[in-house]
Amino acid sequence: MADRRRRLVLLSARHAIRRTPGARRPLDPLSLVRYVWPLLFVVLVLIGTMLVTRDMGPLLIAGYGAGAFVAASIAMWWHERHRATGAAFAIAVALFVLWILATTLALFELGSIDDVTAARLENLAAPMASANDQLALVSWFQSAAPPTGFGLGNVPWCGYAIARGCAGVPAQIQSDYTFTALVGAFGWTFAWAMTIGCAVWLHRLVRHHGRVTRGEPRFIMARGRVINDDQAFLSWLAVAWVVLALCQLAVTVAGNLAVLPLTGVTFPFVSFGMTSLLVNLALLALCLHINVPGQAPHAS
Amino acid sequence: MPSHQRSGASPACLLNGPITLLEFAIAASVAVVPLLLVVLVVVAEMRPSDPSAKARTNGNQHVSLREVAALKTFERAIVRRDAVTAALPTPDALLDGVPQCRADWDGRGGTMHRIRQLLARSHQATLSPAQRMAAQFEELDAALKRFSTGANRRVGDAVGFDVRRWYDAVRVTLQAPVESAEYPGRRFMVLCSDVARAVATLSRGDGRMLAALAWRGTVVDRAMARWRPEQYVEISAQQVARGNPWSGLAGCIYMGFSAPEADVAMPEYFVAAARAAATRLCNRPAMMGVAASDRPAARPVGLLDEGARTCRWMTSAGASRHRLR
Repeated sequence: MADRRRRLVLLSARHAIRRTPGARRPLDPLSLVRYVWPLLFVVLVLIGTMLVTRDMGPLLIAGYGAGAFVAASIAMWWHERHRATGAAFAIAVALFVLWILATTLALFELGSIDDVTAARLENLAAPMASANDQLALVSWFQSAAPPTGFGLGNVPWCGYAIARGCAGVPAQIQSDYTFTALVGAFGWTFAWAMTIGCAVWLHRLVRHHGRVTRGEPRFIMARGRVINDDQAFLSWLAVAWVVLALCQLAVTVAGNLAVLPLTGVTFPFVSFGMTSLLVNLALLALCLHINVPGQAPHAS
Repeated sequence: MPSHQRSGASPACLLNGPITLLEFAIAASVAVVPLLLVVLVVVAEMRPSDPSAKARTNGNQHVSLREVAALKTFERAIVRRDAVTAALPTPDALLDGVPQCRADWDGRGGTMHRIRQLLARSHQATLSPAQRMAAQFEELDAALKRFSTGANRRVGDAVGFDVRRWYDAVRVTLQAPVESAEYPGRRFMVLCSDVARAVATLSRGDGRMLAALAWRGTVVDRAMARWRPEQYVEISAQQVARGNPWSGLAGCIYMGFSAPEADVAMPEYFVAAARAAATRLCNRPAMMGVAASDRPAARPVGLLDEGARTCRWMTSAGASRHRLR
């Protein structure tokens, strides 16, 4: 009985040491696995689901996006052990960059396992001779666009013209080529300014969001009601949405520039059927619907 | 969520309070922006020096090499009708004839396919590719018979489809990769799906494509000198090529390039629809295919505004490069 009590006390003490903020912990690779495993499990389930449904465009986006959270988890693990804040932030960014590079490498090396991805990779490598002509159309259109674009209303897309009446790109496909459409309408400078501006704005949004929320991403019972634990859930939602939207933006632009294969994923906020606009605006509204802490009254 | 993620996420906390996982996630997400800039630099600075990039942007024609290779299997299979040695294939015979494509054409699919069907709850009974192709072969053979025996026929003898020769041609095509001078070192493997698509292409619309091919009987002897003795048809890349539709837009048909002394050919006239926007568009140097600095002193004159709507000036897919030079 005494032995058991002693063991219990020792275990509690060990747990207390592990949980004490500021305590430096040993670097144990197993602890990293234990730390990141739940997140990796979610990532693997996500990837598995998309492989089964054969939705490769969103899979690529999710594959890239998952890296931000894996990188953040590893950075947190590092921070818990070394207390070096700057280094931990640098690790988060560096690991995400490495994840993106590794995912891109995997796409090119292993992508041909899947038929659809193999066709897109072939299209990227040989746009004028592959079975798919989409990159040829995009390249031709970008070359034809004047430096300042054709101007709104003058862009020679086919739009709703019947296929035999126009040899351009049908309207539905234009949904995937929003960056190219921006080049056609307003020119390269504007298209890049819009893209970089959108990325910076999205990141700024989530950066400021994280500053005004606290708590944990969970629901709690308070005053007989189920409520958010001080809005952290909203911030996590915002981060997840922004990371995916940023990856979506980068993949779409890189696809249009023949750096990555075309994925069929739309530009954030813009798509032929407007669902992208609706979903993204709904998420934006959700993220903006936040209680900003009031400023402290000025002392008189 | 571990307790370290609790509380303080205000700006001051970045320095003073406990750092949260959320802040690391936000910090990591910033990596996308510099990567976008890297892409910009790669495209703007490094890509133009890559020789394959020139082929990428300079080519004004898209030809699917795999499609051409798959269609060319019919050059061996379309022979004189009285030289046909085998009857049209049944779906099972088709699977036996091209065993490499059994898995693709039998319609059963793999485990993943069955899981997808289960998830989609799709229980619709659809034709297998082999069944569809067998039906298309019948349509093609009927079309060949009509095409080669009717009035104003373009081929010297009545022709038909010999499936045995086609099996041989398909087996060879599936094994030998196709190469292109435009993309040296790149090998294109013809897939079973390409072959199935070629059958569909040839049989579509009662064999509408047959009229566009080169046939023994209408092709000049000099061109036919390189044909095999038993060959009746030639399917070339030109027949399936897709032109750059923006190399002379539909609706901006330029003509009258009557300045032989100029370095760059300048149009004197263009035909466009009777809309002001179309006229403005056709007057742009970019539309004429000339640099802005080479803009002609006198603008080209718009002609036949109403006539552009008539059949005479109508453009169609593949025929949009009606720039008369």
